[in-house]
Amino acid sequence: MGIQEEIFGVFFKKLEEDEKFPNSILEELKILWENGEIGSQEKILEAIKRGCENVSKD
Amino acid sequence: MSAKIKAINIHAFRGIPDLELELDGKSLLLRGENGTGKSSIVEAIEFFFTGEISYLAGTKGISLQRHGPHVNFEPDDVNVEITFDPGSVYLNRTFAFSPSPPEQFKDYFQITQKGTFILRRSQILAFITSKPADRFRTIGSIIGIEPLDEIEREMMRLRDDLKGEIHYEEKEIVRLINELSEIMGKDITKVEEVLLALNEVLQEANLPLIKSLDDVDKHAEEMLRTVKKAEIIDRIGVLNEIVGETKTALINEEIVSDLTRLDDKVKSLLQEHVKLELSIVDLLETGQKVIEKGEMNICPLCKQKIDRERVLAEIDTRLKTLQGLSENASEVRSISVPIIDKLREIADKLNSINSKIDSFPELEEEKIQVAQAIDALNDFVDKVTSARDLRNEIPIQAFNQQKDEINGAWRSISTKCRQLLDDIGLTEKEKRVLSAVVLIGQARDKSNDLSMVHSELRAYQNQYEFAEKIFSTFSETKKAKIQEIYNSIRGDIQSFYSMLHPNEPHKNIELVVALGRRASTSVKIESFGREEDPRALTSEGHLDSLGLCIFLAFVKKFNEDCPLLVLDDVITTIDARHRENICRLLHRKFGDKQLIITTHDGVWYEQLRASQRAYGVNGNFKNLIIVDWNVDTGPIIRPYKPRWEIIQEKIVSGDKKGAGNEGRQYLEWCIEKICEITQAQAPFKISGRYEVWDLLIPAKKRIGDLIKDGESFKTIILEKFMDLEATIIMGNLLSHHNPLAEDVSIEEVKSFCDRVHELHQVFLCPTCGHFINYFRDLKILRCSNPKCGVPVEVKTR
Repeated sequence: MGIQEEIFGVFFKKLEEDEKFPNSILEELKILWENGEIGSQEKILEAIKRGCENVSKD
Repeated sequence: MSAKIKAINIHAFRGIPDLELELDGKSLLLRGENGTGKSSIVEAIEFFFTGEISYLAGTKGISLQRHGPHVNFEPDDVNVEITFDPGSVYLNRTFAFSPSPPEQFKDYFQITQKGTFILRRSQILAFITSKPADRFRTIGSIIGIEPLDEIEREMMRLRDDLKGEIHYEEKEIVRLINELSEIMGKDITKVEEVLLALNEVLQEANLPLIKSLDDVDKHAEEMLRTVKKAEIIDRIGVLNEIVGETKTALINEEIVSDLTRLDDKVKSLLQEHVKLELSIVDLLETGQKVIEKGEMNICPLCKQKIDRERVLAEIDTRLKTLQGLSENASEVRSISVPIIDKLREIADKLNSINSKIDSFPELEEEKIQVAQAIDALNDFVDKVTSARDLRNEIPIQAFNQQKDEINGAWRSISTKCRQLLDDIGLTEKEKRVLSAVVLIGQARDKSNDLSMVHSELRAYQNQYEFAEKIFSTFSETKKAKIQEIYNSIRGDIQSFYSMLHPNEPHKNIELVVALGRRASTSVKIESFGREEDPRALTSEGHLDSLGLCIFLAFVKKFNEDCPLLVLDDVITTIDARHRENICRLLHRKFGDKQLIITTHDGVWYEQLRASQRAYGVNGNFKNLIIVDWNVDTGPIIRPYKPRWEIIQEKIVSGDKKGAGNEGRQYLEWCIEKICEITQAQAPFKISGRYEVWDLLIPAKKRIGDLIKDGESFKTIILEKFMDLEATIIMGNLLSHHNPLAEDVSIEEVKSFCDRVHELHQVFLCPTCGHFINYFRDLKILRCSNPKCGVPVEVKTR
C-alpha cells in the first residue's frame, strides 16, 4: 500500500470513529477519493452538502 | 526484479552530440573538469526516466525544448536510449516519445520517473539550509506525497471560504438588525421581537394589532380602507410606499469603503509585471484544460508534436510558482461578487422608484435624475465587473460624485412625496394609519431578509464545522504519517552521519514536521547537549554530510526497488578524511546499488578508486575520465589511468595548464595522505576546507618531530619537502585564472610535478609499493602491507 492510500485509510477511519461526523458525508468523501476528485474544494463542498441533505432525510 | 543499466546512448542532448557508455550493469565513476559534459550525462539519464531536467524547470527564459537539444541539432533529433539487464531490454525517449517499460521493470520505473534517485550539489543543501516549506517539498517529492499537499490546500481553502461566508452573513445580520431597530425606533435583537414591537407601535397609534408577520399585506389593506380619501387611495398608497422606501439613504459609506478596498487590491495586481504573470496563469490554466480535456498530443498553438504528460507536468510546476498571484486574483474575484450584487440592488431600487414616481408630474425633474442615475450606475457596475477581471482600476472618485448626486435625488423624492401627502390633507389618524402601513411592510421585509440570512448562516456554519473537521483530521493524519516516516529513518540518518563523523558530539538528528504549519519540516541536531538547528553549529562540510545522509536515508527507505543512485558532483566541501568515510558508507550500505558518481575533484576520484580496492569491489565499477570536450565531439571519455601517467601525457603534449592542475590536485592528495598516516595536527578550520599550505607545514613539522635524528629517511624526506617548496608556486599559478601562467614554461611545470611525485614515492615501500604507515605503539613507520616480504621500517621517537 502506498503512503497516500495509508494516509487516506487512517483519515477515513478517524472520521468514522468521530460520532459527530455524519456517515453520509464520509461516504461521499470516499467516493471522491475513489474517483480521484478529492483535490477540489468545489467537489468537497458538494459532498458535504449532499451528505448534509442525506442526514436531514435520515 | 533488480534492473541494471547495461548501456546508455545519448544523441543530440545538451553538450553531447553522440555518446555511447557501456556499463554492463556496473557502477560508473566518472571524472571530468568543469564544463566537460559530466552533468549532461546525468541530465540525459534524468530526461530518459522523467522526461525533464529538474533544475531547468521553472527557470525564467529556459525550457527543455529550447535548451535540451545540442546546439547543432533540432529538438526532433534528441534521443536517449538505455539498455537494461536482465534481458537486454532496450528503451528510448525523445521529445515526442516516452519509454514504455515492460512489466518486470514497473517498480524500477515507478521510482525513477520521480527523479528521486539523483542528488546534485545544488540540491544537497535543500535538505538543510532551505526554508522548512522548501525542505518539505524536496522530501515530499521523494516520499511521493506532493499530491496530498494539494488536496490539503483545497480542504483548507474550502474551510477558509466557508469562514468568509459566515463572517459575511454575520455582518449582514448586524446590518439588518440595525435597520430593523431604526425602523422600529427601538433596539431589536432578534426577529421574534419584531411582532411585539410592531404591536406596541400600533397600540400607541390606536390601530388594530397584527397577529403574525405573514398577515402584513392583509392587515395593511384593511387599515388603508379606514382612510377616508377613498378616491385617491391608490395615490396615497404609492406615495406612502415611496416615503417608506426613501426614508434611508440609498448609497451608504460602507459600499464606498468596500469599493476602495477592492480597488487597492486591483491596483496592486494591475502593475505591469504582475499583470503579465497573471495573464500567463490564465494562459496556462486554459492550456492545461485544453490538453487534458482533448487528450491532445499536438500543441494547440503551434501544431507541433508534444509530450502530453511532460507538458502537463511543466504547466503544473509553473502554475505552482504563480499560485500566490493567482490567489490574490481569486480573492479580488470573490470579494467583488457581493459588491457588484449590492450595486445592482441599488439600481433595482432606483428602477422600482422610477416606475412609482412615473404617475406624478410633480416629480418630473427627479424622474430625469433617477433615469440618469440608473444609467450611471449600470456603467459603473460594468467598470467594477471589468476591474474584477483586472482590465481597469475602479473610478472611485467619479463614483463618490455620482453617489452624492444619486443620494440627493433620492432625498428630493422623499421630501416631495411627503409634501404631496401633506397636500392631500390627511387627518392625523389617517397619517398614523399610513405610517403604520409603511412600518409593518418594512418590518416584514427586513424580518424576512433576516430570517433568510439566519438560515443561510446556519447552513454555512454546519458546512464549516464539517469542512474544518475534514481539514484538521486530514492535516493531523498527514503530519502524523510523515512524522512516522521521519522517525523510521531517524536511525539511518544518525547511523550514516556517525559513520561519516565518528566521535563527534552530534547526535539525535531529527526531521520534525513543524507544528502549526501545513507543510514544512525542520531539522534538529543535538550538539554539546543542546538541541539546535544544524546551521547554528556545524561547518559547511558537516552540513553537506548531513544533507547527503538525509538523502541516502530516504533513498534506502523509498527507493528499495530501484538500484540506480546518481551522485552528481556532490562532494566538494567535505575534507579528505571524511570523504573516506563516505566511501565506506557507500560501499557498506549501498553496495547493492548501481552507482553513478561524477566529480571534477581528482582527490575524491582517487579516494573512490582506492576504496574500490579496499572493499574488494573493483570489478563492480567502470572508472572513466573525461579528457576533453568540444562542441563537435562532446565529452571525450577514456578509461581510468593513474594520475602520474595523465600528468606525463599532458607534459608531453605541452598542456601546461592541464598538467599544472593535475599536479596541484596530486599534491593536495599526497599532503593529506602524509598528514593522515603521520597523524599530523592540522589547525582546525571551521569550513573544513584545507589549502596545500595549511597541511604542508604541519606535515613537514610532524616528520621533523616524529622521526629520530640521524635516520637517513628523515633527511631524504625533508630534502624532498624543500625541493617541493621551491617549485610549489607553479601549481598555484597554473591552477587559477592567472595572466602570469602564460609566462610559465612546460619545463617549470614538469619540475613541479616531478617534485610532487618524488615526495609521493618516498612514502611508498620500495619492496611492494604500498604506502608506509605509522604504528604508534611500536614507535615505527612501516610498510602498511602485512604481506610485504621486506617491509621498509623507520624508527620514530
